[in-house]
Amino acid sequence: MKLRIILAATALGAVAAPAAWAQTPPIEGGTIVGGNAPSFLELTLSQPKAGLSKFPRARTYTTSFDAMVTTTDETALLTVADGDAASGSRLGRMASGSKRLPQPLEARVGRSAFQSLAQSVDPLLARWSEPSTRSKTTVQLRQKVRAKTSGSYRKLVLVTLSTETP
Amino acid sequence: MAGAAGLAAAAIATGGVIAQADDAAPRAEAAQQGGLSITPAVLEQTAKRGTVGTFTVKNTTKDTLRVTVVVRPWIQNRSTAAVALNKNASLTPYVRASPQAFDLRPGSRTVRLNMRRVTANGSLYGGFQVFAKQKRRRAQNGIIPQWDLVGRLRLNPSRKRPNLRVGNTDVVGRGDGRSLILAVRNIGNTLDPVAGTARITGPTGRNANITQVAVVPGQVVYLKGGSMRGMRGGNYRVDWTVTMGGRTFRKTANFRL
Repeated sequence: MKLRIILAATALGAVAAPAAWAQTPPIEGGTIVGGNAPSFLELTLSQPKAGLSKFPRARTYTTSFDAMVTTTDETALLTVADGDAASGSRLGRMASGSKRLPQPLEARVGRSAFQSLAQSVDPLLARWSEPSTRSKTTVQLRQKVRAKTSGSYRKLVLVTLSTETP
Repeated sequence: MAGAAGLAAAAIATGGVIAQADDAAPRAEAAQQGGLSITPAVLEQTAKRGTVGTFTVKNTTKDTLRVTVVVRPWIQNRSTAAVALNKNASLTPYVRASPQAFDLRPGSRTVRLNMRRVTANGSLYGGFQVFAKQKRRRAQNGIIPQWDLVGRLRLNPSRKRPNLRVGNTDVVGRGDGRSLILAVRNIGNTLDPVAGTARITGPTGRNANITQVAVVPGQVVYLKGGSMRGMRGGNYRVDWTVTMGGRTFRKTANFRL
């Protein structure tokens, strides 16, 4: 009987010990982990998957490239714009020398609607509402061609990473 | 969460390693690609002639990039208050980057911003555009992506003069989407946030808090006085109380629903 009581008390102690340990208040004088990070913006771009330079048939051509964004800002915006022209008939249109495609180049991210690069306002593709690290976005580009063309076409696409707050 | 992401971003910027189980793939991918970064992306100081800030541009591509730095003013969307860089204007007469354009091999370089002339109102708020293109492009034809980063430059006045010009009240939208707005122009020299309340009295009474918004000096923004959803038709009166930088502006207007 005495042995049984001792065993029961030992078992109870074994169960109670971790509970008592868990309730121990934290030791004072610890190290505070933290710090300030300098504000940072990074834009990484991949080469487009397809060249999108020749249009031998009347159809819709597509390509895409990846943009990876790192920002410490609360908001960040990814826009694309024509890197060749800021206005006029060249705006948003792929060119081969003096020749231009009649239809403008279009861009989108995800399943949103394609937006023309021939607009006066740069198409907004993606928006981040919190800091992000290497957040990957695929920018899809589309070029509609109504009649076959000759020559090699090109377009500089300016990918802008900016903020929304002044 | 935001702070953690910020620390992680900074650690990457300084070459630190952050243990994360699922980041192997993006890292490997990034090594094959290339990018451009700026740090710090926000430069804030009191406006004065001379150097007002420095930042570092880093090229992580394998190619030499031609980098151009220009300070430009903001344009602000009246409805959303979001800012975008006005690429048709430049603040170069006031602030100039040194160097303005340079070739950047893989690696980094420091750029200094010099204030050459102080503006009439004593402050300057704009963005510094860091634009980069490959010096020798891999592809001569097709789609050629280029990098464009926009940092924030905040040159605060040595003597703050917060001031607003309060404009007209209007009801915008249709049906249940109607809302009350008040146009305000920042005619001061600070970026102090604008906030306040709208007290509507009439067939249906309602109070609304104006969401805090930063208005760029010289720009107009529509403050939102709340939704008109569920309010009965009739003549209403609204008392606006708008605060900015410790100053209070009041305006009363009548409108009809």
